[in-house]
Amino acid sequence: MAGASPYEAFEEFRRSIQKAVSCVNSQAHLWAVNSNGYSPGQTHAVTPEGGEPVNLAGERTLRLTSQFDYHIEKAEGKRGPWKVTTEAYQHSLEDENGLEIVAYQWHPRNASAYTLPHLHIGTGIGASLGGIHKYHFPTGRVSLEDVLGLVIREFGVEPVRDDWEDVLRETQAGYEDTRTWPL
Amino acid sequence: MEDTATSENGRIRELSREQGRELLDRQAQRYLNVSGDEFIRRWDAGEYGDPDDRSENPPAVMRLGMLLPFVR
Repeated sequence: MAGASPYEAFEEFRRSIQKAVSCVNSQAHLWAVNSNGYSPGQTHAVTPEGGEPVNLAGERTLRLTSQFDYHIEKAEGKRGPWKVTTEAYQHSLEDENGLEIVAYQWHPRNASAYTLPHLHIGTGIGASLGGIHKYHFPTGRVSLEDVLGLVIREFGVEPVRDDWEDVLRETQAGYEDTRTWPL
Repeated sequence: MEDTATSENGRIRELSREQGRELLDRQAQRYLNVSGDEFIRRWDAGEYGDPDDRSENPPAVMRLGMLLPFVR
């Protein structure tokens, strides 16, 4: 996400996340650290509901947690003059007991050996998995919009706005327009 | 969670660093049964090893690790 100032880039970034989340929960707030949240050159975090699960309405009780670590940096062309660069993400779907069903993650700098985007299949999947819940299944880069589309289309989550497809298409396009990593 | 918010901008809640620390503390207590300070100490000391190794750690370790920018 780009902007004319660090603050503008930050605002555009979190506005886009908030709008995407509004497709599945109209009450969820996006939490961020205040004015320091747009200081260039340092890592910041933003997450709906302070990292607590966001309730999803639908055929079964499901909850979503989503987190982004990012920094703001100078950039050129349509990505500039300031842009938000994601450093890490995690989007996990939980059942009503808080057991993880699936989690899409990318955290190349957080002390983990697993530096590429990956998928966890969790114990909340409801089947005997042996040790599969310990595996890191490689993926491409997965956006929040990808995950929200997944839970609506495949997990029976009820969207809370009629224009959810347009909204996800719009916010995804904004993200794709300024990302530097094409996966 | 209303009491921890300093301000709202639309549907965005902005926290001070101290409130970010309280957020981390709540989550560390709930998911790992340790204080936020103790989580930070263990993380910084490398006591979780690879935080995303599910053989050693529950999913909450990496999730909380990603919240550290709220307190730093």
